[in-house]
Amino acid sequence: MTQAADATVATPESGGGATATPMRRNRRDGAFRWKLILLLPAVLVVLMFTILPLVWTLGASFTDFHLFLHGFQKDVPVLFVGLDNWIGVFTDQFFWHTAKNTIVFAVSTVALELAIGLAVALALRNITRGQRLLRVWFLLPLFISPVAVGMIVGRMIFHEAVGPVNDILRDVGLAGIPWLSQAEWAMFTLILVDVWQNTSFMVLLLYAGLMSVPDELYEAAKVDGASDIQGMFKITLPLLAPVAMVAILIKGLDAFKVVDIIKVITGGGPGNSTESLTLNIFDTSVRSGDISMGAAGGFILLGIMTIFVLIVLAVSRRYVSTLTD
Amino acid sequence: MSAFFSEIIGSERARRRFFSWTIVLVWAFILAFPAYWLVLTTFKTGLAFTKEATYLPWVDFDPTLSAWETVFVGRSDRMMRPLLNSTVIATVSSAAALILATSAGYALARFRYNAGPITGNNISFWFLQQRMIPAAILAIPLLVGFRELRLLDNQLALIITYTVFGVPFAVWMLREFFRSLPVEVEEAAMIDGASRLGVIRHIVFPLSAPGIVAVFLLLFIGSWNEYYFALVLTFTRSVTVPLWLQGEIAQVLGIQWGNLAVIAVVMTLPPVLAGLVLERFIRRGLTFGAIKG
Repeated sequence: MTQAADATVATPESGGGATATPMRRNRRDGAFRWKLILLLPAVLVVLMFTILPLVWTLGASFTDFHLFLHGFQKDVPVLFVGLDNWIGVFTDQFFWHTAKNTIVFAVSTVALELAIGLAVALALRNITRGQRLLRVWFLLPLFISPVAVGMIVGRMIFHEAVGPVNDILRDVGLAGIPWLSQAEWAMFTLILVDVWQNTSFMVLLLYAGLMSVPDELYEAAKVDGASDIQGMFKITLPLLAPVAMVAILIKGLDAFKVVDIIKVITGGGPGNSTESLTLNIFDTSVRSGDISMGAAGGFILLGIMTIFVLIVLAVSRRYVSTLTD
Repeated sequence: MSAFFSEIIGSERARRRFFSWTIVLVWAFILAFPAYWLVLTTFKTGLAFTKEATYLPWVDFDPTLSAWETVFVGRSDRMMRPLLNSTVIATVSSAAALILATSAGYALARFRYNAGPITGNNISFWFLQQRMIPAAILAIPLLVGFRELRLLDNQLALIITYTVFGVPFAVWMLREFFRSLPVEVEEAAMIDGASRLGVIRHIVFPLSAPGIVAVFLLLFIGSWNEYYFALVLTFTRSVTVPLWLQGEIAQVLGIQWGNLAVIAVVMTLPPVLAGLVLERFIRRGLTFGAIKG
């Protein structure tokens, strides 16, 4: 994990576990005092409002705490119920249905965004004019609220009756596609909306990664008679792998938490075909007030995300080791 | 195959450039079209939208300003509250997070922490790890806690929440930023007798202004666009812009697309303008590991 953290900053000089540059001073100049005064407020805030609530929620997942009961009637005791909530979630088919939706969404969006992002970043490097304008243009979707993107792209562009996509399809003689009203298409539409917004993130990181590959490498390869394709697979992709891994981790973790575009575009429907884990947990804990059950579900989501991180790290380590062989 | 293309397009280099331009322009169009469509929709009335797709003003349909009028004049009372809430909440929480994160980021970049396993790197990584915790979990204790404190549907609840969730990410980025600044200037000033506070005020702040501004913009964009915590912690008085838009979409009386488009434009402009300023910093080589998504 530590490796991933160090690599998370895409500036080349900060890769690896570089240690902080210390002021070579001792305690006499008050450095000791300053280093606590400056650091502690941030640490305390995170401890109080993140770690403490997290521990409380973990505890609550072993009780029968219900917002609409214990939240209103303080004299009703909160009971310890052991693993009941956890077993309840684990045996809940609907929970695993939403887990499947979430995994499908996360894996598809990350794969598509990586592929398109790589193509765009590579293409962008070959372009000599207008590059600056295009780079700004490619960055803009990242600054827009997912709720607005969901409405604009999801609801308006893919509108089945009066949206431009179906309109054009019908103009060329095809049938309009049930983008939102049919279960199979609805998930695909959500994926496309996420790709529209978040591919920019991949372009940003991969392009920065590409720029750090020195041109001399390609020239040397060319002198040795390597083709473009060989240069791509033997030089570009291996050198891009660490950046790509970081991008996959960041975007993947975000995708596992998806809720906003789903809430705006499909509301989890049609049926429950696009309901994500976060939406499920929201319904359980906030809407129905079943805090303890929602808490258990939330920690299982965290578990699934951890498994994702471990898989990405394992695969990337393997990939790196095959390269060095 | 290769020879075939070479004949049409010429040299291999020209061919590669041709393919690159195609990819880039197609992608640029895909990104641009929804923006065009959004602006176009703001000038349509109900009828122009409900019959069929129309693409060009004056040719396909007659543009009107009625949607703008409805949102800004007719229903301006509905707009003021979320707009004001979002502005206050995003500004205050970003500023608070920035103060906490600047001092912690500076400390982690310049001092050596070495108390057993508590090293500078580990503390920084601990901050970064907080980003992974799903909002689905943290919204639960926050809902219960703010309810006990009678802060539900209160701006303060969201200000505290966004501050706390901005801090870890900002600490990480600012630490990286401070580490990229030369330490020698600060050391020289201290040898000349400047105090730590004097060094921070007269040397660190001026040198790091671009990084600090950039992080503030990122925090602001993140808070402005945040949806889930706002959904859980506010209902009517303190709703933010994303919830306003979502509420308008869910209107029972049928969707007023023109009005929605105007709202979406209003909602999108501030973060995009902030993003354009931010882009200058990104171009200067600050890639920041992570844009808040």
